[in-house]
Amino acid sequence: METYNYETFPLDMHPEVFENFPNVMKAGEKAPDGELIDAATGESVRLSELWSQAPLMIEFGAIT
Amino acid sequence: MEPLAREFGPQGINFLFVYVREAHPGEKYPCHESIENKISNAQDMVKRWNIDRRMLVDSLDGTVHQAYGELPNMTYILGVGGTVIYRASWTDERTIRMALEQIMFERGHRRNRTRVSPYFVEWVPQRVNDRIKFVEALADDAGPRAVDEFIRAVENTTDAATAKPMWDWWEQKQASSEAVVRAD
Repeated sequence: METYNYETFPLDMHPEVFENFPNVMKAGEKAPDGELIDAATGESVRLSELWSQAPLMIEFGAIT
Repeated sequence: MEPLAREFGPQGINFLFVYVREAHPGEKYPCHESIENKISNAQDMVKRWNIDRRMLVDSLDGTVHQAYGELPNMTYILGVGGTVIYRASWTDERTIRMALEQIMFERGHRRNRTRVSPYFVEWVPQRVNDRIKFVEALADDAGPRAVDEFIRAVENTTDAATAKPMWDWWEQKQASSEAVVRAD
């Protein structure tokens, strides 16, 4: 199995991740909570703190 | 996405960017070696693309990224309490706008005490996918190695004819940058 932080882009474009996306969770279900680090302050933040008062739009990505 | 955040942020939607692994590691941004390295790349991204949204960084081993499906450019909209309202395998401003406008429509009706009930939708819309523009961005953001690896992966998963215009563009681009170096 390849490591999460792969050094080179997978030659097969890891199709299993794309194929599995519809099964990860369904609309209407509760999303998993998780802990993240604020890039500006270094503080630790839980997703559940961010969706407790208002709807939350999350974009995932990286520079590359 | 910043215009959407500026428009819907004041209407009570929280906007967040979650920084995950480098999808196309290259000379400029190789794969993350440490959490400090990942945070520093996230800070670069904020400056590079003038991101106004709150930037949060996932753990080095991608705990949150993997729990949400591990795709490089996915989007979620969660309701108060964390219920999934919208999830997309690609970040597409057109359909995100539709989903946010729908949230505002529902809110208006709830305020007027109109009864609203949830229903379920699945949808497979099509996005514009300009591969030359994509490799142009990769050359700028990631570096030559990432361009080579991506075009090779396209060739491997489709065919030589699909990859050819990308290789042609890349050869031309490299020839012109060598010409610039020689002129210097």
